[in-house]
Amino acid sequence: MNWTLLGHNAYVWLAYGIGAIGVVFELWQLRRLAGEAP
Amino acid sequence: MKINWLYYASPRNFDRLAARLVPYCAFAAALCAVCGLIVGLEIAPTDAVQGDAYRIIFIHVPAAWMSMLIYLVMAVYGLIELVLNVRLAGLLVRALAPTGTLFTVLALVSGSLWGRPTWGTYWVWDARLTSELILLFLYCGLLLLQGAIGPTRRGDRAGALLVVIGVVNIPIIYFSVQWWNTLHQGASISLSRGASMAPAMLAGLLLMTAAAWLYAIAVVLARARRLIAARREEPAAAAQTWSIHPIGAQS
Repeated sequence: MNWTLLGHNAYVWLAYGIGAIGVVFELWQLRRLAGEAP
Repeated sequence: MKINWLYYASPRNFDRLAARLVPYCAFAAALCAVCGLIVGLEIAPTDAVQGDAYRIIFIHVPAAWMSMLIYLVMAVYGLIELVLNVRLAGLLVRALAPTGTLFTVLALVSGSLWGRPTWGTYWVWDARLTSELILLFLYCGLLLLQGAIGPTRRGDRAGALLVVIGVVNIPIIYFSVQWWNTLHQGASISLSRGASMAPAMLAGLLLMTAAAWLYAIAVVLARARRLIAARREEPAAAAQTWSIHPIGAQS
């Protein structure tokens, strides 16, 4: 793959970036739930 | 080996099983994701028509598959909750809903970002896209309904009912590209026709799909354990049940 961040590749990085943010957010939510549970 | 399913219908026994499975699934998910990303982003060849933009497929397709699969699994548990009144089934619907919502959002956002360079637009009111958006609304409706009623059996049963009614949308999403003329392409992988892509692309896609499956199992089991622990702490509040009564009848 051409690893540039420009052109159409920007959409690819954005998609994977949002995916990573989503996974981190869910894991953070799970951790918060663990804090609430006994 | 014979598995005693009724044994694992008990939240306490299920909790013990989940505790053992979560670390293995999480590790396997991370491993598959790393391998899938290496194959998908580096080893798989650049597409002759779409260039590197097609690499969104490695996140878009697993997310879209998981969004539908998780809803189907929720519907099965919802039906078990409504028909057999199994406490664990209602808890599993609750545990599955946030992960299903995440995958649906990812499928829609990554699809939108793929649509811009290939179709020239982020969004069209196409049958596949619209039905997937309706799936997101169903997930959001379920989360809001469960949140409004609270962590009780009444909330479990109301959520189960919504999930079972909404499952009609899943075949509509899946077959939309066959039933209607859509901008969205048809299936790239078929059990009857095989895959219409290069082997390295298929390998990356299957690895990322395995990662999404294992991640979902790990996260859902971990969330189910938290919910079981919370129910054990407040059994009286959670015991509030709910059933459908004719109008005017005493509940």
